[in-house]
Amino acid sequence: MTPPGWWRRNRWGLVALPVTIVAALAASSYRVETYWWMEKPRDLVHAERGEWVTFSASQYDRGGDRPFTVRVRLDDVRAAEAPFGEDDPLEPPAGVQAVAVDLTLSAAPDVPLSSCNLVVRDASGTEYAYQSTSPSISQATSPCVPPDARGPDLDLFEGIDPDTGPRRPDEWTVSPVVLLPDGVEVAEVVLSWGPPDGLLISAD
Amino acid sequence: MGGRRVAHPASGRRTGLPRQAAFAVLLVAALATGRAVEGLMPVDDETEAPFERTGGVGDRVETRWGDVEVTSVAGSTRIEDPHGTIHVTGGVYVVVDWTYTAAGEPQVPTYVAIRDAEGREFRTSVERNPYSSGGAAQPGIPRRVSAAIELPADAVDGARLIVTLQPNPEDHRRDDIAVIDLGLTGDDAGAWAASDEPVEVAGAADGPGDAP
Repeated sequence: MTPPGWWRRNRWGLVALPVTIVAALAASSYRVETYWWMEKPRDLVHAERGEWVTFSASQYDRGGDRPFTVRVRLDDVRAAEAPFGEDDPLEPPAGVQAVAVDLTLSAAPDVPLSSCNLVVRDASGTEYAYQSTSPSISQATSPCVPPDARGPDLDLFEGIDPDTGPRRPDEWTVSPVVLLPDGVEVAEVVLSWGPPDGLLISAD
Repeated sequence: MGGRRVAHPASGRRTGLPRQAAFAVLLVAALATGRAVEGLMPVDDETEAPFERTGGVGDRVETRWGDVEVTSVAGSTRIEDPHGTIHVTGGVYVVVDWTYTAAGEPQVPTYVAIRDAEGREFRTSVERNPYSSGGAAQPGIPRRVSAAIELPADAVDGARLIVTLQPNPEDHRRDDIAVIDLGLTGDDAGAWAASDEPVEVAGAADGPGDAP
């Protein structure tokens, strides 16, 4: 009788090995979600400029999860004439251009949509964020809702009424302004109401 | 091996225990050696040390998160902060004007300090050591900022500016930090400790500014 070979003697160990490797990787990757997946919008719905896209995601506040649906259309990316929702003149410093992102959105007026982030990317993936205040610009806090009819905010703090006043229209347009270095071309617009979900619209 | 065991099953069984014991002793010895090496060598300090990107005044120091360039250094016993408030020290205020250009995405360097020749670090703060970043800077757009830090006069000689993103020094591990030699000497310390002319600490501004 030939003795059992190495593979046969160690067969249960060999069966357990891939399981153990997967379990070890899973056990040591508990930070991937916190530090990578939730760091910025990564689960992206893709759309093209000029077309309506329906985006569904979820936010949460003191009342629990707040699923929502919004329809979005990127109309144009153009040289800006004024900050978004402010009367102050737009005076970018030398070497800096101001770009307006024209968006049309549509959602039920009772959906909280003010806490969104808008980022534009160039072809190499460098990201430029919408900033409501910086040394060079001052504009509306939210890039996604009409500054004078924001609709409800998320119910985040006890004692603060989430209702912000005038009813938001069923469909509205916004023109948030992003500052970029001269010569940078906007390739994509990313809109998010909280990672990991987001909406990526090609600006070409 | 297998063949020998079949040929001499009894002797294999007899030597089995000592061999296993020898293996266990070797294993424990290897683990103990590893533990001793780890304890005696600065393993944690070395593997978690930040990457220091060094330069001098006027150099564009490149890091993972952007470029830092010190444009001027001044000092006195008095400063005027961006709100117009005068602060007075019994030591020396060192005021560093520098330009920061973010890379990749908007970022803000929140840890700004002066490290002296002994390795002591003196950080910017809200009240007495003013530094205002102006918030996250868009990539590619130079952000001009100013930091004033109060030092004992003996810390000026050989002082270096330290700039990085994370405010908690524990989070500097394995990340880039900019370390810029300010080119200061004991003579500068003496002259500044004797000066009561206020040095202005500018607020944050975008763009290249007026070329010096």
